[in-house]
Amino acid sequence: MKVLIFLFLLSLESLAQQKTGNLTGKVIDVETKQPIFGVNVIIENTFLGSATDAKGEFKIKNIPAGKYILKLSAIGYETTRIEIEIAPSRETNLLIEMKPTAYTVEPVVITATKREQTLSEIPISTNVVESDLISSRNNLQVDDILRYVPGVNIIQYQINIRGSSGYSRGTGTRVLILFDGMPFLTGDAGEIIWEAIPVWQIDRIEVVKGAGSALYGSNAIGGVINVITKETSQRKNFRFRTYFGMYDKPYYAQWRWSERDRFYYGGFASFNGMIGNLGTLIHIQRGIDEGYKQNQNYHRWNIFTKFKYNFSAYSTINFLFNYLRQKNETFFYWKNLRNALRPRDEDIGAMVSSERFNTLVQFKKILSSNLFYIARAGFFRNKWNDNATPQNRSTAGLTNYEFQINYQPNEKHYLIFGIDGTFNLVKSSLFGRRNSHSIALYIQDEFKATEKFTFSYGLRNDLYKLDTLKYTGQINPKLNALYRLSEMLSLRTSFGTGFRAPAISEAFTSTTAAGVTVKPNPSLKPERAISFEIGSRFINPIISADIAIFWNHYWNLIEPVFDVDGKIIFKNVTEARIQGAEIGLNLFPASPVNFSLGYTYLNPWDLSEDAILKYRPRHIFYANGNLSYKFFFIGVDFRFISKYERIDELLKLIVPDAEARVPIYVVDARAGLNFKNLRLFFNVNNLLQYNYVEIVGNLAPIRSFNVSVEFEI
Amino acid sequence: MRAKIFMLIIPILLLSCDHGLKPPETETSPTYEEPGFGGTVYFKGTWPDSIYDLRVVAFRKYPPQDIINEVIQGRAKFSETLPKRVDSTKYQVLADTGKWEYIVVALQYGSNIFSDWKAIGVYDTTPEDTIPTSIYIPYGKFLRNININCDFNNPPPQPFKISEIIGVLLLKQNQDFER
Repeated sequence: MKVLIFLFLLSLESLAQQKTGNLTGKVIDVETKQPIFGVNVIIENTFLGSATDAKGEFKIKNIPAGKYILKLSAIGYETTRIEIEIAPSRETNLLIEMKPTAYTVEPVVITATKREQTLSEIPISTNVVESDLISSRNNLQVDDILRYVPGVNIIQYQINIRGSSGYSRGTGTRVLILFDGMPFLTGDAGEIIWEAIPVWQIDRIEVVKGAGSALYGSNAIGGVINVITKETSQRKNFRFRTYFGMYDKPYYAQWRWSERDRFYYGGFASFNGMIGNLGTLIHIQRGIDEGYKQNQNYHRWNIFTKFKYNFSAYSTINFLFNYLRQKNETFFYWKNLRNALRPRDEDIGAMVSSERFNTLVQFKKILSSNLFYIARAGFFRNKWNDNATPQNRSTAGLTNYEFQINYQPNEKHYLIFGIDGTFNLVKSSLFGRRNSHSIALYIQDEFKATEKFTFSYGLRNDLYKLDTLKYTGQINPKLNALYRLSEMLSLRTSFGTGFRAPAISEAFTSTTAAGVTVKPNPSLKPERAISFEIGSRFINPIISADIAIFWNHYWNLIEPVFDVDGKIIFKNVTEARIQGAEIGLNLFPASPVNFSLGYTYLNPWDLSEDAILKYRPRHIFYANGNLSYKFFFIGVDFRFISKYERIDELLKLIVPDAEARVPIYVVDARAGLNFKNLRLFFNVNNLLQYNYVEIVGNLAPIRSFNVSVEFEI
Repeated sequence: MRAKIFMLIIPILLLSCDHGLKPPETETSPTYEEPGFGGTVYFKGTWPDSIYDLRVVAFRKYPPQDIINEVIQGRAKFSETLPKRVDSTKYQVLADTGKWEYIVVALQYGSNIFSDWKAIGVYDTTPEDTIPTSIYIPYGKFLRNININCDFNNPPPQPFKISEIIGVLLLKQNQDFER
């Protein structure tokens, strides 16, 4: 097998041998004539590119002789394109001037098609959240950031994209989350550990909506979220941040359970820069929250490191290590609405200790101007135990690997194909000793039929095995089309299928927790989905708008239900259809002001029971406004989520006052000062002290105030 | 002028807005019941000659772990003394909201309150297995028809030192009563 891989790589290398020349250059600001650092310099229709250093200089080697378009982009500057000609065995030198702009540069997205494209080139509904907004909101977890993405709503820790997931107690998410491109779901419950992601080292978050299993396999049934961390920097940089927050008193005196105020606080220290030839990012973070509810505090440590080594301009290896250690109390449900911030008597003292880490090694090699490959392998270990009697504990080790080839034979086609797989071992008091593994092959071609018309089509075949059960196969196709009516306006349509293999927790759980006994069901089948969308995007420097109409159909949705013996069992019970429309609007009327709005209408219908799907709202609306003047800025976020019309009958039995829920209206506000090396933030979350639940019996965070200071050297 | 109106509108909006969920105005809703459970105990077989006490007792956990602590902390609950030498009798136990995994009819057959107890019936709706059936008491609800069959000739498994447990339980009750 190793010999075969070696021969394959050798053949790729030989494909790459051609007559070449080099390109060097310097990029300066047209007004100040100062060099610009960090400009992305890309030769269009090739995989060759570079970025400018502190002197504004760049170098691109081994470019096949010929004529090209050189594209330069940087934050704060207009994207520039110039024609160049590379002669064989010669070095071409350029001096390029870039023009500053107050308008936002269109973000680059990698998740939708597994390759870098600007948002206007993407044929699927996609949103990007960038690091500046995360920093100014002082979000402590990724799920808090996603609460303001159009079409997304979070029910406690469970994410929904256009109503995909509902609420299933954390198990078996229907949204795949990637951490720097690798799946980031636990091996046992298949859940997302939001608190393990270091929010202050995020570069951007990409949210791709609709079934994406044709590229990503299981779990991408409702969409894919890729959390992309910051690159290691060539310039040495130390960052320190500390925050201190306080929960307000509950709005109603009856809900006050603590004689003193409740606080949350923490911070981080990080280094990003070169140590010798090694790009290094080290981040250490501490967080403590006393909790606004009784029995809901946490203490956590996060460590995140990233190393990057360039063997050459076209050959890079990245290593990532991420660690979380946490002790947290567990608040299952309230005692009743009169005691909304107190847990049930039997849950007082419930606590979980957990230790999680993930590693990722990624090697990328550009073999020629039209061919590169990426090989990556990752491991995610998830270990936790609680203090119940008898104690519940679980250890899961999930290994991922992937080999991806990008090949652009000519200007019309862009091929991506690869192989990936997983191997998962679980040892748990709840599920027993279990294992699962999978392997998949995928291929995608992007065909540029004309300058205006692009097709993207692909196929993925997954084969997976869950412990003692038989092998199951899934084939998922996709077809996308994008038509550019003008530079600013495009139409798109996409069709894709999705599936989700049952999580080990759904097939094999045997436990009693929070008053509920769950029994195993090893005969579970995978969930399946088809999604279809038509959309249009308009982008210009003052306004960008995106509109989409979508239709998703789901089969075999796994839901927990009562069995004949009164115990809960996960079964394939639901066929559902979710139709809807979505509009997103970003306005930049003047340089210091911007607004964004997002509205999603959902018609989430449970075809099995001929009723609205549980835990799905019909309306989701977000608004966001920001104003900055010199070093001062203010911002406000508003979100509205209509009341969930239907919840679990089961929870009504278990949770007192389970029917107590309302539409959600939340306003968060912020203000701050942004100096060169020092940033101060003041945030008020839930400004209007609005009391609501995301999941029954759990009052969402009440009003809190926090101050944070970030210092950078 | 517009700025002044704007400045005035914001606090009015903030003060006048709805605050979402709120606690009920009365302690209990009209349908509120004292939480607990009750039903009928059916007896068959030959009654023993010596019967000192007979009660329904409920425990949070099964199999009972750290049961002494559960009892000492007052988390186990029991009924009034049941009548003897009858075919059946009604009973009720006032117990907190939540899950109760082991409901047992306990007989004190000797004079020693700390040692002379045994289980003669268990609430079990699935007799094909040996696991007792648990109940869940919702907030403000009293569960009815928790019926228990007792067979003096064929008592259920005695999974722990029930005699000592119930002895401690009653002793604790007496101490609480004396205080």
